[in-house]
Amino acid sequence: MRTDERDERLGAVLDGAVTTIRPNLPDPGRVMRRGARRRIGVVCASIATASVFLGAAGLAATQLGKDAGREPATADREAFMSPDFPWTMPVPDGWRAFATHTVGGPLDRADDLRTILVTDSAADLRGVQFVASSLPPDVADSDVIVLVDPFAGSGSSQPTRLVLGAGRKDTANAGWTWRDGMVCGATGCVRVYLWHGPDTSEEVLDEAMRVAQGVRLTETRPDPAAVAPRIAFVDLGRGVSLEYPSGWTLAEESLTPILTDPREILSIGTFPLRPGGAAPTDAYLPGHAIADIGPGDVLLTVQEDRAPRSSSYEDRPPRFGPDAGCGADDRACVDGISLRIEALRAWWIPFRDPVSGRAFYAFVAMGEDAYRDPARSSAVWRILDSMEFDVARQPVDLPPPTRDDYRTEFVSDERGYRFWPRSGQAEEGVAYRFEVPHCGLDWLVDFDGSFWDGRAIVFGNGWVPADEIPDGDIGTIVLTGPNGARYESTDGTWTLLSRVDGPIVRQPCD
Amino acid sequence: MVADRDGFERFFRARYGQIVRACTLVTLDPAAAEEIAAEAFSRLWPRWHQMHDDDHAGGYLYTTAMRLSSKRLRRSRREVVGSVTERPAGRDDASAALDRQEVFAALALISLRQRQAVALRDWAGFETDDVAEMLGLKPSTVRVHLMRGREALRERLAVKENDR
Repeated sequence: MRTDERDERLGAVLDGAVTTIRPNLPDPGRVMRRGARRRIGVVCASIATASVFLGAAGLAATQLGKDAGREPATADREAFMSPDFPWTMPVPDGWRAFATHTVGGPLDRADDLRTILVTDSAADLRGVQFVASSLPPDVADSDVIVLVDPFAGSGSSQPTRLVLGAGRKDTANAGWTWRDGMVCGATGCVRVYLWHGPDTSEEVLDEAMRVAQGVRLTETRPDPAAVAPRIAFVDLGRGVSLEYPSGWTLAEESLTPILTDPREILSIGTFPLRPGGAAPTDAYLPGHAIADIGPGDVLLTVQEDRAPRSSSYEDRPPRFGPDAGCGADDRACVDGISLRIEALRAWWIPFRDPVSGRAFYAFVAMGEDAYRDPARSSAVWRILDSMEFDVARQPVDLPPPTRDDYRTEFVSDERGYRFWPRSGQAEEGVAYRFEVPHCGLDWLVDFDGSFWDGRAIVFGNGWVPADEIPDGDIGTIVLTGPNGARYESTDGTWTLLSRVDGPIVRQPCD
Repeated sequence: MVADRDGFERFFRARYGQIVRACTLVTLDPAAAEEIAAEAFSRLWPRWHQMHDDDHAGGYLYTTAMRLSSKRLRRSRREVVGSVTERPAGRDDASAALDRQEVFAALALISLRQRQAVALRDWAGFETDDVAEMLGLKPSTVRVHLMRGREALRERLAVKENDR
């Protein structure tokens, strides 16, 4: 039979050995909680339903000065504040409220951060163009959607109240109707849309009207740091460039020195950044820096996953925001409370840069004051937007060998053959794609014109002896100095190699 | 696929035993396999909303489980050897346990990669290219592992090749 064919007889024998195994099924809830704790970026929407409103309500309450210092989870249940823009509104029980970027359309610009409130539908409305595209099928004709979009304008010294215009037909959704109006405050204006289906009851419409009428602009002023001159920063070694506001601090060293994969490539914050420290919830996080975040501070750490699986990442969004990396219903994630870091709002955003093909995690954390300050909080998302990643850091093919075959010389039956290296010259610091020979990394590693020995013992996170790197693994090898190299496997483990001058004697690998 | 708890629970109940059995063939340790399977599912959950369908989620799950199995074995190789002679703890009948010991003893004689390749291709039925992607190897490398692993197992377990 061909190797590609499945050996069904062998499969049946294997099945006979394990088919009687009846594992105890763990509690799925426990598994999910464990997952949520471990990979902190995404949390189940259904368990977040209550906390998001509580959290957002507390935020709005403190924003309005009614409840300063109170934890978000214990305040007014009937208010929601957009995480990125300064407005609040009441949220009836059972309604969903979330913030998302607009996709652009006849009545809205692309990339504005809007708030959407909807009656109890579970539909994902994030990609919907207002009155220009069909609504998802799980939006019922009895539902109501309230949209709040930022509107270019200088605002008003006296807050204005909403006056909705006459109802208009939605040509893209049969039977649906929309009305709109403007609300202004000291910080600007927002346009409020009330959009409902043909079967919406009067009672629900009244409720929606109460929501729309309850939209208020807050009095937060822009942070001067956010509009200050921006500084361009380029790190050729890590293949990343970005712009950030003056007054922010760029870390001069990794805040997570124990991490090897993912590896931190950049950290920036509004306060002095201390490296190291025990992470509050996840070993990937910079413990000291998180501990130092004050109420008005913001921290951004970007880590690169050096062995990403294509299925694990989505392409970076056109614009980063609190909803980036969150599930459709994951309001706790959008609100930055799913990571459960005390007194902080935080987001863990996996993404792939489609230009370079590299995969990253962005960790964003901020204090409550910074979160409530739209200019302050949006500055960090704009830093992420400005980041560009260089393809040069991707593994490249090895330089071509200097000859087709190894030059060999028989030594003896006991000792084997003398081999001469044939590999081409490598460049220090460049990651080369490298396949471990089928006799292992401790047999005959030919790299940069030399053979390499893997007997070094290193005490480091992720280090394994060379003979434990699996045969056939396709990882990366980097020349780290004149006589040192580092091999990193696909599973994140690594080992160090030392250069061996001249030929070596080995038994052939069979 | 939306990030719904019910959907994940359904998938979890349907696939958990399958992942445990696959990991058992690789680690030769049912208890360790249960831990690995639970860990793999816990890693799947935060990404559940990104999964297109059950096949996509299954692929992620197998990939994660194989990776965790490799890590576990690499860190504690002695556990594998020790578990070969252990009798599975009383959840199935004695004859099955005996057969299992024979199969496990044969599996213990081939490499980790060979066990993974055989388990994914011949037991789970994935295509070679899919197995290669799950293991982070080239398809040609997987074929080599398959060929060597199968040869050793057939000899040890007296299994004939497929007639085809």
